[in-house]
Amino acid sequence: MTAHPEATAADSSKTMAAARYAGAMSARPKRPLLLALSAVAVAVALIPVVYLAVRTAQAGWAAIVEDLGTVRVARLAVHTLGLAVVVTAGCLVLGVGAAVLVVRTDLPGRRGFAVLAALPLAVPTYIAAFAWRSTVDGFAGFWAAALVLTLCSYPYVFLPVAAALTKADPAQEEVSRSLGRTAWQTLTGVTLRQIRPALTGGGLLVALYVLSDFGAVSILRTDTFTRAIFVAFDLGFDRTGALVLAAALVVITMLILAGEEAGRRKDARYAPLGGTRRMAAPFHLARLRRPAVFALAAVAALAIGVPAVSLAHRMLQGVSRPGAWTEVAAAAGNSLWLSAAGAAFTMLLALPLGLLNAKAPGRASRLLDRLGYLGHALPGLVIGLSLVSFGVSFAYPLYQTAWLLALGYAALFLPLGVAAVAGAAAHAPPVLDEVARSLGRGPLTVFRTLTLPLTLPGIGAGAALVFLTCMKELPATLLLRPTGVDTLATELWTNTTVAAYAAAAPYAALLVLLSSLPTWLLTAHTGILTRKSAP
Amino acid sequence: MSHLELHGIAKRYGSVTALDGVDLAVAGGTLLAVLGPSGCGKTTLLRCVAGFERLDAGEVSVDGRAVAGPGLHLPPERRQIVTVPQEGALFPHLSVRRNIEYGLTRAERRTDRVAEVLALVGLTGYGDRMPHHLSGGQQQRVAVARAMAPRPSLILLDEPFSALDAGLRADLRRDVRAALQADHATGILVTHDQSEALSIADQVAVMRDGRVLQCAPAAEVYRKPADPWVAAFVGEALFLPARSTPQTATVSTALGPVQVDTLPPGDGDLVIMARPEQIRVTSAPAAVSATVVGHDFHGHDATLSLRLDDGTQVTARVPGHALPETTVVGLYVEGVCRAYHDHDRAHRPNLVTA
Repeated sequence: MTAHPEATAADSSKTMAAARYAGAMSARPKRPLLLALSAVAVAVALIPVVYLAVRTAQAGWAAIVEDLGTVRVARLAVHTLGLAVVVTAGCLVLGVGAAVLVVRTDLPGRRGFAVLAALPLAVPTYIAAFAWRSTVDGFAGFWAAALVLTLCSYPYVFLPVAAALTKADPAQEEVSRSLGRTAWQTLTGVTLRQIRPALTGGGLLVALYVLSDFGAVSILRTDTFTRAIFVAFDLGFDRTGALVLAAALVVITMLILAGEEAGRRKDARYAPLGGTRRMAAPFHLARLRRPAVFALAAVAALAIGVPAVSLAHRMLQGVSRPGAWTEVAAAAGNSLWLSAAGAAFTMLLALPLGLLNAKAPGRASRLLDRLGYLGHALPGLVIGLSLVSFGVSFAYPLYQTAWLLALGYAALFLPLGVAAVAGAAAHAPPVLDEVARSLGRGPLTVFRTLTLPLTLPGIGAGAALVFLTCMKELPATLLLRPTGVDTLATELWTNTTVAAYAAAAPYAALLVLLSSLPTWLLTAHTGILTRKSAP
Repeated sequence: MSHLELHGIAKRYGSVTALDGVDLAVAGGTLLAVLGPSGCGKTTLLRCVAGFERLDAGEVSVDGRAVAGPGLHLPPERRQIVTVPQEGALFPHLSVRRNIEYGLTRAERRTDRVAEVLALVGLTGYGDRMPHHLSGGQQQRVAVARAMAPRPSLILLDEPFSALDAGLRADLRRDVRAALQADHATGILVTHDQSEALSIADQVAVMRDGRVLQCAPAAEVYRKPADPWVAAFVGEALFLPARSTPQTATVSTALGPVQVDTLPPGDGDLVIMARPEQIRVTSAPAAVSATVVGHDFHGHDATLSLRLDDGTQVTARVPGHALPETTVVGLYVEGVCRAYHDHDRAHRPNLVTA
């Protein structure tokens, strides 16, 4: 005749769950200021996209249908999508494989391999394509472009996955192993599902990058949308056709984003709070050690070795040219400050959007986030031409200034900054804000003393990534740089187009070298370089 | 030494009513425990008092000064009400000292208040540690010290011990209680753990479905629960049908005549509630005999399952050193029991009474 409190506690569990859910939902502040700033940021980043839409609409339906309904456009679409699929798949295999080996096994020299796996980020795709093409005779076409793009882009998967693997709680894996699952089953069934946000995020970046890549496909003569657009623009005969092609590319991008959104699990977002974070016990490779080391070394040799050897070879011919070093130094200075301006402006726009994503997730923030991705998928070329026209027509004082180029960079690289800010904001969960407020500190003080210091490392890493990406950016820089200002990338391109490979080499080498530093910072930030703590 | 008053607090989320007219008062320098099952609204209550949520109705006042009410919502930073969340939520980039200084003015930081509150929570000398170098219990102590440091009007503790293991929890509970008392702090502690609520608090408020069912000193909540649900929630409860007798303070049950404090007003079948420790087991001949059909041994005590000759099942708690040696024992009820109408119990289908 005894009544148990536990039994009664289960009473009307449905309404309780509903109440708790409702409580959790409303616990998040609405943050109208953040929402407004985010909307402004996205609006700024969308200027080129909107301009493109307006110009396309002006072309009229008849012209659009006539331009798109051709065999050539169908072939372009197949090539472009095929390239995106092949490269994304390749990057997922290479990126996840390298991340698992480096983070979760007893691989010898794992710190070194971590750096090697991140380093291709420092090699712009057009430099890699140029290096391969000048080394291997007849290196061109779809599969050549797929190889080069995969080798250059897999760090986009490797870095987030390695970071997620480092931070993931090994307890779930231990439970899986103790329930009788093998190491492989645990990896595919538990670990990779745990880090799914990092996987899809990295894969999405790769797919979008491939859609917008221009340098490598042009050098390797693969017919994709970007190359066709450039040809149409460059020849100057068919500007409307080029805009329509660009619009088709935007539609493809939106379909990919929509697909990713539909496939995303609703509960994928989680921020581990408190608790002790243990390192997972490394998996013993045993007989797989040699093949693993060989595989990683081979990928590194292809991704970094080939460009390095090729560049070194051309360098020896290039530096003997009189006056070469002063030109290189001037271009390097220009690259640095333009990229710094671009990174600063991009992070300024990314800050409210990333914070909104992390602190007030909902329909509005998701929509703004998706919209922010649009510019990233547009070819830099289209962003550049859009902004040139925009500058001439609507903002003449900005035309041919660093401001317009910074806007172009922001339109292109906003998602990189947003992802970094949103990830960093997870280090400052709302409960900390609440405690600080209850201790008598106003919202601004809380932001200065808590939110900023806690999120700054992650935001800094995001800024480094944006800076590096700006430095490598070619087509938008070509079109938007202030008159007479040459950067490393534009000097390289100018020399390459006239087949002055030797003269191009110092710029390429310096570009790779300068890009290595942010890559190093980024790699260090993931935590995969830290030594395992002593047991 | 501030006192807090809540009048008719209501809070809805869409169609779900989280708080349904809550009235509570906390006297200065005392600790109130709000006890209830998950989802009863107790955390929402804390968030409303702290200012993280806006009230739909009602008023919150501290020392007679309203901080929330119709047309009034002071932001959290102007209420002098500090929270200690479940997981402590220390600022991870600040040392223990800087965490505790966070709520202090510049002048207060130059006093020895930090050392004082660190001593109160038993962490003297830990000022320069970083939060990630502390154990879970130590983090929770720092969170309490941080909350006490600015001498707020009120400290809100949201299940602050639930993430800790049992042994640690008892120590920490005692130390936090002592620290709050030494500092004359006023507090509200939210918990779903009845033993925690009964042991730590001056007053216990039992909540269910957004309402306060009873608010009274711990002993009174345990001995004189307002209704059968409260009785079962705050501890193990034994319900037996009863009949009134000519004497007003005694009823007749399967365990013989039982003393009750009062009879519920009105007519209807009676039921009495006894705590298992009130059922005394004796080897001497008694009016009621029962068979021992099982026991759960807990060390300090044991719970006996007994069957009366008429088939009624009852539970008795006996000291661990005094387990009966025979299977047939005598029973009697000690002390005063609580009487309810049976229909008060009947509409609570989950109250299992064998």
